Amino acid sequence: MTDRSDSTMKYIFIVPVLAYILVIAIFPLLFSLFLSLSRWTPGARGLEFIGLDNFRALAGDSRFWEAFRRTLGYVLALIVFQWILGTFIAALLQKNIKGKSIFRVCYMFPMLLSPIAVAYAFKMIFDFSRGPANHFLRLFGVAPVEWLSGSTPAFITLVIVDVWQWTPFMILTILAAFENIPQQMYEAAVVDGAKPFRIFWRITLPLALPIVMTVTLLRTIDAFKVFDTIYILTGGGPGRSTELVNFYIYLVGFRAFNLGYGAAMSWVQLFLIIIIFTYYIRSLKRIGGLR
Amino acid sequence: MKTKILRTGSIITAIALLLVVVTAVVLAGGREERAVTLNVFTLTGPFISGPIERHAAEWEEKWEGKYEINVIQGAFPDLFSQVQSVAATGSDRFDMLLVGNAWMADFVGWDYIIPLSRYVENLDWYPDDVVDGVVAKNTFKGETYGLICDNDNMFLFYRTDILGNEEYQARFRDEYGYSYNTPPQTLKELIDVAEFFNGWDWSGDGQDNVGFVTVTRRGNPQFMYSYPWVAPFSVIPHDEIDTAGVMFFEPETMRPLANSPGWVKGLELYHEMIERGTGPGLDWTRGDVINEIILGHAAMAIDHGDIGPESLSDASRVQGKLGFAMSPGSNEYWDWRTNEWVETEEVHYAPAHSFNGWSWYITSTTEHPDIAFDFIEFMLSERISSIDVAVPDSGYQPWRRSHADNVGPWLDHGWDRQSAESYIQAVLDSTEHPNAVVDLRIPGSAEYSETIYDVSLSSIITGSQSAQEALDEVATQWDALTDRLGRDEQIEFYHHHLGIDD
Amino acid sequence: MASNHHKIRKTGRNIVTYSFLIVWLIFALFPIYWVAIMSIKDVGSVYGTLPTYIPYIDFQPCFRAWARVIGGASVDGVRVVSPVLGRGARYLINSILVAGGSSVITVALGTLAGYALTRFKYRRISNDGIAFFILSQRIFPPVALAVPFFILFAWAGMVDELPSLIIVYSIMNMPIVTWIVKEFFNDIPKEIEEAAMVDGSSRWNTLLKIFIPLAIPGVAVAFLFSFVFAWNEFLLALVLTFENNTLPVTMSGMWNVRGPRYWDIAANAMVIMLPPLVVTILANKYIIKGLSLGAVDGG
Repeated sequence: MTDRSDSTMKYIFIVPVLAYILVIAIFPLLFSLFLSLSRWTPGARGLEFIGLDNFRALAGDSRFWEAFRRTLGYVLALIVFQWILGTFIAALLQKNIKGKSIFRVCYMFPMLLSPIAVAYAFKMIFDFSRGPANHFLRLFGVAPVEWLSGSTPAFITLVIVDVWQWTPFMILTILAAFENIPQQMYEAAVVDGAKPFRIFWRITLPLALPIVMTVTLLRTIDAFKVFDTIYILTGGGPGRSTELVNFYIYLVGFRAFNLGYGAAMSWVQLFLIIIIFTYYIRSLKRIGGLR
Repeated sequence: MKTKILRTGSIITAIALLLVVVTAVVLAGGREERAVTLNVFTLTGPFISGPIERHAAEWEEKWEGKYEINVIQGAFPDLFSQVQSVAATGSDRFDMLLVGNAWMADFVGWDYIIPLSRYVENLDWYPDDVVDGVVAKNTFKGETYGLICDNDNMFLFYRTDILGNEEYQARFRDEYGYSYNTPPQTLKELIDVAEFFNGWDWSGDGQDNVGFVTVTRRGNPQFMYSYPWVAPFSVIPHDEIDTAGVMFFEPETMRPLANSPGWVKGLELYHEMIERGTGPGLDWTRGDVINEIILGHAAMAIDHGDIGPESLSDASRVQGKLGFAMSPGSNEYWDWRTNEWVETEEVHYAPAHSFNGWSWYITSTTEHPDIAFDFIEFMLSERISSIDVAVPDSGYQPWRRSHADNVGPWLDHGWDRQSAESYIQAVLDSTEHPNAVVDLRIPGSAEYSETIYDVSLSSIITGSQSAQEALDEVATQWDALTDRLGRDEQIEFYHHHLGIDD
Repeated sequence: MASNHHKIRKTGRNIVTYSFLIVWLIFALFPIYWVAIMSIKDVGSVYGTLPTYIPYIDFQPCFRAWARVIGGASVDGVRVVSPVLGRGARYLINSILVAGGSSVITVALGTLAGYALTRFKYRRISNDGIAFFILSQRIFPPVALAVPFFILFAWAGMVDELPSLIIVYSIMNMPIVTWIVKEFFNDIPKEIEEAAMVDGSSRWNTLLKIFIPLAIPGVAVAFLFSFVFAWNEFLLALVLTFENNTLPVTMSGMWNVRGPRYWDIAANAMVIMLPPLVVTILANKYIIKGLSLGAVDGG
């Protein structure tokens, strides 16, 4: 259906975006690539080109690799929890529920709130001696947990905060995907006498899978970037137990102004993430996500 | 429904565009104002920046509106890094800084601040009225580079009524086999006393109380709270060595002392204190330390001075019940020259000036250094500063001898004479102590302390690493950092920091 | 269709369903509630031995933090205003300007891209390639770009100026906006437009008359998301501004040298959380549509 004038139009539509991104985003990108090959000391010494020294140092920096492994664990934990909880609650909401819209609205709240404010809220909630979290546990006779000061609990706390904030995104998108499945698909199954669980497993989930996976991809990308909650909640501690890659990059690159090294870490991280995503997207395409 | 969304969308857009236009107009209009604006970069209020905003109008009046002061505020965790990025990019955003004294060497290294000696020479009160410890902190490379308006050091806060309770003293004697001093004199004694007062209701309010409070959250910044534990064990007394207060590195080689037995011992005791003398949880911030003391839940703390003024607030339940004293010492120290422990007959005190204080600087990018100094001089004048150090919400601790003589403003702000005098004395004593350790002033100070040491300290406190193990890592990383920044240059800076003349 | 036996099983299932939903509801709302009541506590109740939950029942509310927010408190005769509304609500205005300005740019460009990617076919670089390129803007961690951006703006003399944040946020939100509108546009049936064009309507006309009215909910939702993300963004604002802060940076600064004062922080947090909460309540239907990634069924 396209005619000639379309071919100019199609560039008029896409070029502004690409040009804007190129002009604005390409400089910082190139500059950070350049920085990763140099060392910037404020003052007289200024910027020195040092080749691959930063990357060489990085290879032996156990703090970075530890942080990277920790980040992968964090992202994986988030995605799994949010995926399961999101799907589960969406499946519950999909039914004919009274007060559905109230549930939906209230579920929506967390994801639009400022992570800084949210982090403060959880800082108060997970306070060891004055927080409701430990008070709640005490009601069940469970010993208080060092939510913010034990190595493993602090990590789990971060996961809980993100699950609280971003599971709603999963719930609502997955719910929409479920509700978008044409009714006829179910009718056949109901006539066959299939049980609800089976219907969900055989029809609902597979049909919604492309959107579910796309949403998961978006969440995964964002999950790598967690920063605000660490900044307020744990500061990366205790020890290094909640020091994820981005926080470490921030400490090195901004706090200590070791810009070159920070940039080198960012590029290595990016490279590793892209490898992971490439595999992920390839499998996504196979099941029909990313239309 | 669709039109509604359309309307909402367009209203939002319209408002946004309108606001953009309005600010553009305001900004453009503001550009042609008459007064020259001097930008001061400092901490978010009310503390530290509050007094500037309180007094600026008076100074501006003096200049008949020719100059005005604009306070730019940053949050503490990123205050240093923000100055750093401004300095590195050569931006002329700031005319004056009121930031950490400990960062002086970094600023000097970047050529970002100007020496103030030629101005200070004309201040007739400076040589006599400023205590020597503060003069030392103001000086670097033989020049005055910064002027302290808030004199920070760590000292001991204790409940005079609780520690002085004879019944408790007797019980302590029965349990521990000796009588404690009020206040405790050594860190070991402090731990015993803290343990004794930990976990029961000594205040009679129906709640269990704690013996000691300290900061145990990474990056809060907890490292400052560890120095009072390290210093007595690792600082060689001033009469045994030419240069006093050496704690971080060996001056000639920059070999880190961080994993020396003195540090290890100090931090092992700190860890012991946290296990025996404090409440559970390990998530305390500075707010917890201050509030637990002023609400009467904790018996002792080692902190910067702020607990004193906070104890006058409405919420405080300890008005007039706090004692102030030198941070406890030790009976031994590690001599890093001979690699052996030396026992001392008397208690060996070595107070730590963690952070050193808030200090005025003039940037090298300002076009009005003389005017800037005029403002600083105004803020530091006896009239203004003697009020500021007494105002509870200023966050300033006394630094002039005349502050001790003139307690009038203190009484006006709710202090009783005895508390005020002992408080001022505690601050000045710690400052003037010959063994006092001035917080590290060499380039990369924040990286040495916060990025590296603070993290390992956190591992020690939570018990996930032994002190030796964690401090060995610190020493390795400090060495690597020194090499990266240039060992020879760093040695030179370290000598300037210690006041060693080459 | 439903026998008795069925009914009982159904009620049982319903109870399970509702209890799960209600547990999650409490989990989702509790932190917001906690901030709300924290803002009306005083230091004594915050630092009490046990947490307290209900005003007037287990603690006496104290509205001093709110007095400071609206400027009704003073120290030594000087009026004290909490940061969120301090300095003539400067930070609040900054936040609105930055979030609004960046969203206008993002949505304008993102909508064009979304339309182009769903209605045209690009041969040289495939549509997927372009989409991935736009998405890739979101993969690179902001922490790595913050300092280069700072240096760029320092050269341009734009550090600490609002336009710098507007530009950065418009780039940052481009992917999510493009994706929302793209998914949305995908499900606007092309047949309607094609039919119109067969009838001789030009593409421009079709676009204006048929496509845009159908696309508005999607665009509005994209705007909303872009606005909220910019409103909440912290790291880049922290690095790129000193004086012209936005609210999250202002809030983070409330953890001052004498430690976090939770009651003040909570009152300010309520202010910063309020707009998103109100938006959620008012526009929830459209947000849900936006989140359905294009699942508009004609209505």
